[in-house]
Amino acid sequence: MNITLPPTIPALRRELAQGNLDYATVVTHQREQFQRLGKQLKAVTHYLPVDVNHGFDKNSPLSGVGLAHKDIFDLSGRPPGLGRRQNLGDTTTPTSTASAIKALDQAGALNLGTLTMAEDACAATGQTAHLPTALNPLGEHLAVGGSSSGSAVAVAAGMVYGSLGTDTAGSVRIPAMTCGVMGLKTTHGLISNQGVAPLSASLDSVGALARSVQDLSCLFGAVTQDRPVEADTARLRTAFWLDGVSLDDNIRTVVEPILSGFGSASLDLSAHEHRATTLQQIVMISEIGLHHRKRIFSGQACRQVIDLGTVGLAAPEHWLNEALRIRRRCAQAFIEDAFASADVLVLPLQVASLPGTDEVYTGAKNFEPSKLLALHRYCGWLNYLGLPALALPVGVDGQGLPVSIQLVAKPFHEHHLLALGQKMQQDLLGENGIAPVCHIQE
Amino acid sequence: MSNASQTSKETKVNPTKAMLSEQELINKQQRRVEKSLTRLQSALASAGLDWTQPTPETAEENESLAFEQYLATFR
Repeated sequence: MNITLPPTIPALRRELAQGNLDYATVVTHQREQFQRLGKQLKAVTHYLPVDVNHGFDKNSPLSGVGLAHKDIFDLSGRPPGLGRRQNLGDTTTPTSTASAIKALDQAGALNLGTLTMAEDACAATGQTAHLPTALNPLGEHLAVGGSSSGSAVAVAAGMVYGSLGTDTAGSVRIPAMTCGVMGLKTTHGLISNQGVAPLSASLDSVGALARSVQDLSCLFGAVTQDRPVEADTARLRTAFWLDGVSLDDNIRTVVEPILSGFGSASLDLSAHEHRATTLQQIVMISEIGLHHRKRIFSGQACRQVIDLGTVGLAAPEHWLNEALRIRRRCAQAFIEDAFASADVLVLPLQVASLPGTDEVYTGAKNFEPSKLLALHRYCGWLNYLGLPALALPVGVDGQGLPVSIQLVAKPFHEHHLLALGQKMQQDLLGENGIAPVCHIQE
Repeated sequence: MSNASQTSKETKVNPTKAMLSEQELINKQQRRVEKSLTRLQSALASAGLDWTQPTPETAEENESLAFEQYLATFR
């Protein structure tokens, strides 16, 4: 079926409402594209049936919009695959669908399938031991970040308009960054984790990936069931943090002019970042150890869960309690300091040019642990502080590969991120955001 | 036939050597865990947090619950 889909969800909805496209054609095209590219890019773990004859309901905000999500969400009658080789018997068959997915279903979205992910959501890349590793549509030699790897691949290649993932230490933002798309990590507790397999319950946040900020806003609005709150970007005050940040020169040369163009005020957040990163690591490894204890000792857990969980189980018991006990104090100190004269912070996300699979996939010939660590260098501390963050591509480096930063707002102020993100997208990328891309040969 | 010889090969592993390898693995894991904990301990110290002993129970004990309540004030 040879049609060109409109670039964004609002544009698709407009074309359907005006009768320029018909529902059955749009659904069939999206399903075929999802299946074809899904196989080519090894991004899909399960194809879901789609009702082509359902018909377009103009009152449903996502009617006719093709989505697919990380394989971490319960679907009624199907437990999440979690990137594992097989169900190891520690998940039961759910009788209901995860509430975030249910909200999208109720908004009329088409759920086309489940997407590959790092096993147990516990890795900064999408490399998997038992399932095929998804390919980066920007180039087969490039690594795909994790753990919501299939989500980023599917969005970047135009298999879907958007995808839900989860973020414990960057698992939405890192894959978004490596595939050159947008990723929104939401405020701790804003979106229910009901029906989402936990990695570290105190840090996990449901998030979304898309090629445009408009599409992220559509998904965000449907999942939170809030009417979108408009924010006046002219009134939004920004501040940035670059001094003392470890960025490679080829990233700094892209990011610095953009920030100075915003006329932002410079902050030094090093002390907050250092403390919150350490506390995030303590909470994460301790909760991984506690949650996966049985699987760690039976040898059924994946390598990353064993590596992190054993440290968590060996750590002094009071560390987790202490880290959670002072969490409010840390968040308050940070918010009072960083947001005293700013509504949105422009912060580092990407430290170096996008790495190759041979550099960050374990066991690869040029594997460099420092490059793997660089992928999540500036992510986890924001999970500890519970803040919303938007990963946003803002330019390209000398090799023509995307460079991303992250915007951070006060709790429950995602509308500030989306408003400033929309303006930056308009200025830097164009009205429709990122165009679908697939440089992988069939 | 080839399967049988393969099985025979597999069962000829020197048990002492296998046990040593297992012990080596345990030691390696232990060294890795100790190294990670030392690194975290030092990161805590450089962040001004002395957690060598648990903090005695105080009125601040409910702070972990208060984190969510604090975030909610921004709704």
